[in-house]
Amino acid sequence: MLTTDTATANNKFSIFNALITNDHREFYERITNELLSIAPICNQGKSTAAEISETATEQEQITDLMTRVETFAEELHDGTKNLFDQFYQAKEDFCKSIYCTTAYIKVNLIDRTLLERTCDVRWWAMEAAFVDCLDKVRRLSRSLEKMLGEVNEFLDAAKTAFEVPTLETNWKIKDISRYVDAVRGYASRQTELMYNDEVYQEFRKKVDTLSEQLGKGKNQETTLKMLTKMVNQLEEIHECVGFACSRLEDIRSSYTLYSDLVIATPDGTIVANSDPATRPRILGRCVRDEQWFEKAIQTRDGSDYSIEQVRESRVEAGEALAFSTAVRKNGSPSEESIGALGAFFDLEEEANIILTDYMPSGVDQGAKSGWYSFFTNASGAVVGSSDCRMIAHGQFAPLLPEHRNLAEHDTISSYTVFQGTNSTIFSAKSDGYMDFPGLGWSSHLVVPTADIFEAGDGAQHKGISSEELMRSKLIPAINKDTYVKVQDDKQSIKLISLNGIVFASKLGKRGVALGPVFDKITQTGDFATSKMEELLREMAAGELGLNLKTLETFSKQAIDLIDRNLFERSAAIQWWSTDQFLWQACLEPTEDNLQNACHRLRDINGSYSIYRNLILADRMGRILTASTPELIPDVKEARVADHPWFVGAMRNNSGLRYAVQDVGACDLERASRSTMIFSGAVRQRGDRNDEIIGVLGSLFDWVTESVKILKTCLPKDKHGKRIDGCVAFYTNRYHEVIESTHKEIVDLSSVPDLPEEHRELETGESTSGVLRLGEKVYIIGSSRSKGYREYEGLGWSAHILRPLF
Amino acid sequence: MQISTFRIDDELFGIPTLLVEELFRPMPVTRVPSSDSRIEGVVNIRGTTAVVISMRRCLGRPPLEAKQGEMILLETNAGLVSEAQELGLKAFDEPVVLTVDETTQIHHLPIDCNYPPPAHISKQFVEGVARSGETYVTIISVKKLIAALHPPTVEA
Repeated sequence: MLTTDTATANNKFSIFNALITNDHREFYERITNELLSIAPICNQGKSTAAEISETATEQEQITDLMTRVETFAEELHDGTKNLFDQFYQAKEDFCKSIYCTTAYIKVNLIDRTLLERTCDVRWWAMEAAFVDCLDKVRRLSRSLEKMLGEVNEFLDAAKTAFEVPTLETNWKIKDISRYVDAVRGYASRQTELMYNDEVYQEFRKKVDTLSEQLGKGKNQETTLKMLTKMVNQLEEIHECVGFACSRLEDIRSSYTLYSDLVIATPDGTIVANSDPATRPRILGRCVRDEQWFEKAIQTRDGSDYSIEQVRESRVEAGEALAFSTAVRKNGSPSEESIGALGAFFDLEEEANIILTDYMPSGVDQGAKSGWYSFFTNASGAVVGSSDCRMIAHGQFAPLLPEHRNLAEHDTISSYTVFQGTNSTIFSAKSDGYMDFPGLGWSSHLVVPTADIFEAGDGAQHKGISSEELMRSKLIPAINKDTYVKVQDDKQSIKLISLNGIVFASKLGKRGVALGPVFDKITQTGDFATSKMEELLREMAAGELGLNLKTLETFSKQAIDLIDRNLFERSAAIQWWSTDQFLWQACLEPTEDNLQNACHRLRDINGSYSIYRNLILADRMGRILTASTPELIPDVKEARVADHPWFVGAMRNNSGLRYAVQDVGACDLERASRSTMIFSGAVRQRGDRNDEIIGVLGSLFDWVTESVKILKTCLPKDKHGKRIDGCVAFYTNRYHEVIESTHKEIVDLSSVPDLPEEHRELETGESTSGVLRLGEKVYIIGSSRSKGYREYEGLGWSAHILRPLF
Repeated sequence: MQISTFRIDDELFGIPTLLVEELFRPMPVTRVPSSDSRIEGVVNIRGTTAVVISMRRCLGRPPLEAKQGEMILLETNAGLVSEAQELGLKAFDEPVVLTVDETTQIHHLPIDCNYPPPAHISKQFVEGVARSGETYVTIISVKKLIAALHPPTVEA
């Protein structure tokens, strides 16, 4: 990651810099005053020397000594100035690295989520229900159009037949006319008839009444036949639209990230959506001129997709991010498009979760005053903000050009005044994630500058002595050198004045006058050097504090990333367990049905590399089929009835609609010590409220995924190189290690002797401290899972260790 | 009388300031063959060769790591000021350096502040114990040092 400094490039923290705290200014002033008082003392010493010396050599010796003291005091003065510069520079550098990383983590979280969404939309577009629905609608709507075009003629003819005035029929003509007219009006309302349930039901009632009346007349067979055919076709359309809607509903209730999902025909008519509340309003609407739709229809093949930021759509009143792609003939990625699927991602909620996170909290659970976090899109407009009243959505954020024109993955920081407060803005630009190129967004973090330079809470040493800390790897070489230099200076000034006193004592009574001079020099030297030592220790404590904070941030990132990953797994299992092939196989485990289910599971597993196996079991716990049955030991005899994932899914009633078996050994996988299984109940007809007839389980590739994430969260130096000796690991709710980057240091299944505060973290809480593992001393940052959306988390914690030596 | 104090481990020791010529940082000691482990070797101070005596060894303590501690160059008999002679102080004939953990301070003490050494401490090189305010300083007897180490085992 390249870090650019603008405002801070040549920043020397002279004592006149506005950023220097009052405490430090006072500190500096006291040292300076003390050192400045040396000069008159030395002058006094020189004149005393002239008075008392008996020989020229003697006087010279004393004068020399005084000059040495003066020079030395000046050096100390310069040293003090440099020390402040060093102090502030170090703090600035460190904060830059922490907060730029934080800004980057935020935009990276968004990228990771968006990548998942692009996979979702392409996967769902292949769903048979949507393909069928579009097929049927296309076929039936044409013949329906034809029928509706002719219906009035038929009705006229039917009426005429009644118009032969006989005594018998005369009274009926008026009635028939009324019934005919009632039906006739619907001829021009094809879309409503097809997609609006209410209108359709009304129409049916009227047709029924008319048919009944017509049945009483003569020669009405053709008309009646036609009316019946029309109603049947409409019925068929409503059935397949209803099914497509219920599948979309399944998706939306499994993946709670979407405000709505819709299916549209090639001419832009919405035929199905996921939200029953808005359905009567939305179905049948035309979105032909909307970008997301046009781009979806134009996608090249099944691997192509479009993302559009939508401000106003006929689907969604609010702002959303629309993911869309074409639904293709036979659900095959290479066939022509027969419609479009649009998934409206609730960006605002997601952005809120990410933006308000990784911020120190202030009063009322909001962020600390003066801290803001927001995203801007490629054109610099705000797309999400932690405080909409200060940084409004859709507006251009007050950012310097350097912050607007970042290259991918670049970060930058500048001092500025933000909303009236002296602040530092840290920005990072997205570089996408894996094969998702990103949307050119940037993440910005605003921190009041005073908060950066305030004396950190690192003052508490958390069980490390100053000396130990000073020697540790955390302290940059330049500070260590200064520390050595200060101690050296301290010795020098002591020796100078002691030798002065020794010299004076040899002068007998004459030397007495020099006594106070050297006393004063000793005193001043001691004062200045010990103050400098104090400052160096404060610096070291600050360095420790920031290092601890970094580890907290990384541990939080580690737990967040895994929670988000597992949320996707929990959503996926809910959705898959509603699959038609699966419930059919559970209902009637015939050769064919099992074969179909197996193919289906294989398809899913083929598209997602993060599963090791997908297993379908019947309600008795017998394995019906699996995506890779050969991996299961004794697959024919295997019983899973007592497995937690199976039991959990069978017990699932309304609320939580998935179950999870925590990482551990499992006899479905003998080769691994770490199996994690998500499961969902398979129900009759895939209906959420129907009886449970089986369980679908997915064996998550925990080892690969967790190690990948843990490695991402290992601390790096400012050149982006991983720092040697760091360890990242997860513990479960029993504090056992479930995965670790360095098993020779922190082994699987062991229970590391963590400090109390690290074991007893509250949900979503982070902390940091010192850990002694055998001979080694580490600093450690820990965060406990708070889950993510519907995934509640399993009480895990993430821990990051960094060695001190 | 003025006493120059120095520290060995956590204890304070002192010698009369009149017997001190200069205090300085440690410098490289050239080892010389010697049967007496108290003699560390010789150093060159501004052209003059001085014998280095380890105070730690004299007091029966293990030596410090290299480059640690400080050095005290003693006056020679020839360099003693008249006041020292009046007080009857004795010095080595040739330049001698004492190595100590750290030089600390110079105390002005009335002469009557000296107490005989307490019974429980080794009397080998001790003159007595002086009190300055709240701190006690063990006064090293240079006379006894000379007696123990003289004639020097080093051929200069």
